[in-house]
Amino acid sequence: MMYLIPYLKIFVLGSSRLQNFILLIPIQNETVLRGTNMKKNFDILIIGGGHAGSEAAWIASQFDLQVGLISSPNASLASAPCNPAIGGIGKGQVVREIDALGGLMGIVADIAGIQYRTLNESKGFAVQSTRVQVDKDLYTKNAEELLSTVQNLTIIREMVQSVERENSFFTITTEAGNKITAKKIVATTGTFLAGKLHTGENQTAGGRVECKESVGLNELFNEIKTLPNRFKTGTPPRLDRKTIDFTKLEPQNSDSTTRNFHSLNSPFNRNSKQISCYLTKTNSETLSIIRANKERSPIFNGQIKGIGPRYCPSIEDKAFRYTEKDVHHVFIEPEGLDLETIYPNGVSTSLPKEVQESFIRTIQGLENAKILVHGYAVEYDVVDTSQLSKTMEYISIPGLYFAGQVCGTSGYEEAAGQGIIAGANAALALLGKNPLILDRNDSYIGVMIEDLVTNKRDEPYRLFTARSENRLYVREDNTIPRMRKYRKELELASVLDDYQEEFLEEVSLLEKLVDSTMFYSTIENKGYFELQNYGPLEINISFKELLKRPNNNPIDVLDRETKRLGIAFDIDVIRTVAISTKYEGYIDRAIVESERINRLGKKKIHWESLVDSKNISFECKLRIKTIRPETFAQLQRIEGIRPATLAYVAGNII
Amino acid sequence: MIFYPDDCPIIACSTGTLSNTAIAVIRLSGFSDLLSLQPYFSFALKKVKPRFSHLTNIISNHQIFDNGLLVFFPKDKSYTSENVLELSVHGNQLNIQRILDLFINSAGFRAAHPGEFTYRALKNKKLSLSQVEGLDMLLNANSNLMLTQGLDILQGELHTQYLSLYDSFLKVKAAVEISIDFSDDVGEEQSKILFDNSFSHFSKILDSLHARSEGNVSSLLSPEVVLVGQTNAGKSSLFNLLVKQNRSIVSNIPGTTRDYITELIHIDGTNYKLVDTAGIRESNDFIENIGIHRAFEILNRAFFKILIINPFETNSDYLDKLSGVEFDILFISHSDIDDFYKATSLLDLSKIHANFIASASLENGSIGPISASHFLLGPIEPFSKYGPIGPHSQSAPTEPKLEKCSGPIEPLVKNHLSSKFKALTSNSPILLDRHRQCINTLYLKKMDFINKINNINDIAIVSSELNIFSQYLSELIGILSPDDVLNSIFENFCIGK
Repeated sequence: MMYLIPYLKIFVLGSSRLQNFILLIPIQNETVLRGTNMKKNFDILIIGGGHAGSEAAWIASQFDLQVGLISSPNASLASAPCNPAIGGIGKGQVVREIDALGGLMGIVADIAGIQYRTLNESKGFAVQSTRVQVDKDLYTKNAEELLSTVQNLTIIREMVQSVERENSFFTITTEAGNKITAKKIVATTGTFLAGKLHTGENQTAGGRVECKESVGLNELFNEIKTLPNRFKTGTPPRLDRKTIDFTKLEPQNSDSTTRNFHSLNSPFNRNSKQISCYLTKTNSETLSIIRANKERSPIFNGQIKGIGPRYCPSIEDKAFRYTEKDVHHVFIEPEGLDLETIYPNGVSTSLPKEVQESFIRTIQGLENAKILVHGYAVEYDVVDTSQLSKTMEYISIPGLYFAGQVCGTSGYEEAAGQGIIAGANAALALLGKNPLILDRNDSYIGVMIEDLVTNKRDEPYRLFTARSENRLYVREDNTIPRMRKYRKELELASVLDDYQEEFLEEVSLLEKLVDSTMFYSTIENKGYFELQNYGPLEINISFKELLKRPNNNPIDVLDRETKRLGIAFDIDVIRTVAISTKYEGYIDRAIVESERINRLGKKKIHWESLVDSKNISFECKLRIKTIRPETFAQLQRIEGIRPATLAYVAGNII
Repeated sequence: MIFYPDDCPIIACSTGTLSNTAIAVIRLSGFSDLLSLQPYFSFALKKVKPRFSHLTNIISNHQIFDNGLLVFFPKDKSYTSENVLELSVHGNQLNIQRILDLFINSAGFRAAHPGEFTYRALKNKKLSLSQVEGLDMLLNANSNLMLTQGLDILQGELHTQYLSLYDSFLKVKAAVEISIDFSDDVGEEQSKILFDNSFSHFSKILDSLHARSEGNVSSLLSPEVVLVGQTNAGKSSLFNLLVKQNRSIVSNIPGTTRDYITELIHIDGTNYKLVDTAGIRESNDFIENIGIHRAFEILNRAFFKILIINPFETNSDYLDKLSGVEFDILFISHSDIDDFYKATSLLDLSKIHANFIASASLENGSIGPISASHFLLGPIEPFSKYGPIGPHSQSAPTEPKLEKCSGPIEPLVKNHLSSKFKALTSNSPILLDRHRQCINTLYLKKMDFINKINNINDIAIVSSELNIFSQYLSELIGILSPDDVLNSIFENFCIGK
């Protein structure tokens, strides 16, 4: 039984000197990567090697099972075809949740991280999230190398031709005619299912620029229900670093106080050189060029029928939807330390090439910018996720799991989060163990999966903190306390488990200390309180009360006071306890609140009568008609449903 | 869904069953097929045109029971969202009972409970909770105000305003969420502006609703005019003057009005309950003590308060007890008695608050006129020392307008009464208690939030604080309606509605 993952041992010993450690590990047989000499029979086969597929393969192969990962020959594993960053608001929490479950993303992001930021730093602990700009090359190379070191994981570089099910087996035929069998399949096909690329009037089949298209999902799995509407996503043009005038841009430096993602890494050690990103803005000239070319925009001239993400709009969307606004942020993000490409975040577009060139050059600092790869939009098929269970298994086809963008989500983190759940559950099911199901009340992954499986999405799904009812609790700092029980269910006793257990022990020790310590109103203490600006000490107060005082930073106070007591705690333990204490009362109240909302949410509604109602807007009726919500909660979670509609329906429920 | 869970067809007479009338309307609701009722009608039901009346005989076992009109409302066009049949029959109570029995005994109908038709309308989402509340108010109104507001609510006027409050609140929530989740896209400044604007909009709507929910409105719902005064002050005389009936026992023996006596009077479209209280004084009589206690209770909730003082028999303890009450009218009675002015000038009224003062002769039903050197109305010389005598005390002219306060008492009281009522209802106050409570709580929470927000630099907590609002907003628009709310509403309904 191989329970201990080799990387972890070395990872810890090497104390995050990752570059070295990767060299220590012999890279497995090249032929395996090429797909010859392959094993024909797997316990679990993952189709697709993006963030969802890589994560699924990584976790599944930590069990004592034979796992295969089949991926397109010309797409690298866990690559970042869009923005070069991991994390973000709400998403940083997901990366840490994946990490706590034993996932891959945090480890790789730490190796490849070239700029760290804590987003929302000034807005309170609960909504702070980590975002790391990554070197795209380093990211995918290290992901591939880590995956290829796993003994019971076989990587196959071939295109899948067909998937068939016989009894409890799936048979996969590749384009080269090879036949592979698997007991469980995790399909993570991203945007490649019936994908179509758009740049201006040009349309080509495919899921990503310079990658071959894969066959339609409907052909692969005839029985699978896809959503009637295809989804659309887009990416901005990539600019030549040498042609950008950085002196005109506002730099954003890497933050040395932002913590690494992987919990076993020393929190502030960086593995790569740190660089800056830059900020610039669009102006009226930029927007007028875009507005003048409305007819040539595939999104607005009817060429693209798919629905794009409202929460990640293209520059065309911004131009036509917010006609009064000409100034939009553009973040200038290097795609790597040695890469010549710059990712201008905020100007995703599918306009014709010459229009892209002219609007880009109106932006300050980009006056002479040369486009290396033009922006494009992609339309693709999406699985009807209401047919999935919370394990990501397709209910009517046991053994078949879906994860990632094919489920209608956008974002690497969302994909990875589903991947680890699908991969782990495929393995747990084979081993006859209880499924791994995350609750929406203690994880963003749980929020996302429940949102997906209880709804037919009608636009790409992105996570953000407002999706969680329990935002004050689902934080980055308490990821281990939140996730420990789930990791434990996997029964993979590893260094990670030891670390988590130790972490929790320390947390509970510190909590006891906080609970039992009092500050007495002595003259000496009063003077000390004044010195530290802790506020008055007219009566005795508990340590807890001190931490809760609104003007104190609880982390600083807890750190200082434990040191003063002569007890050293890990700073991460201090953070968890300090912030949890600070929010205690609010969290309790939020729990009561969400229980109440749950009660309302369970009330049945008649969607048919809503569609006939005169009091509901046409747009909302369309959404209600496609999604057919049966309860108030489902109606509430329909994206784009107007508040007035909600209020109207709510007012009519008894 | 606490009562009447079955969907058995129901029947009731909607025009009352207490006396014989020319026409009675019988309602039937919830039958699945109109044609199944053919045995009871001479008119061929397959020829029925929805929402048209047809002349028919009502038949029981080939015997004609009655002759009347039937109107069929198919379920998509009916009050209850079920198939409804309305029969207009002869309004003899025996006749009505015979027809009801016919359908109950042979056609599978059940006698409807009070309010059950409306309950079904609510259950079938034909009416919202607040519409039902409006209907309740309309049916049980005792003033034009309630009729109007009941109808407004029934037609959704208030509900629309609540929705716009809810809508504006969601914009505040959205602004907070934008600041948390999308500040990179929107920008810090922009999201701050969004929040400030949306919050002030929300605040404005809430404030205007709050202005309509302030004050003791229960006194408007069933406005009471209370007469207060010591025994023998002349309350019963005034009462009788106003009612023009001799219901109250008028007697010279102190303490004959044991508890209180009420009578409805109708002025300018509003029904007022006129209440004659027991004399407020110390007494050894147990029954009378209860009366006195209740007199104070009634005083607290009264809409209009009239104090009558007999200058010859008033003790200062008594006046002390009334020091916290604001009276609308103070009558100093027995002005027809010789030593009236002398007795009046000896009164210490410094603790009494009254908005209008006049002398009165209750025996002959008139007030004033009296010599200016002795009297009164507003801040007249002898009374200006008595402290707060209503709003005129500072700016009013020193010369009394005696001609205004002379003449018969009854029109004067009515005038004051109806102008106060109009003043208080001019901002169309919200009358429903449940709504008022929600709005007032929301208002307090908003003030509390404004105080707090300056000390909170954690936007996640701000958002959490905001969630408190949503609970009350949900209650206001009827998302959360505990079953006891339903019960209390349907309690008031009559049979057949």
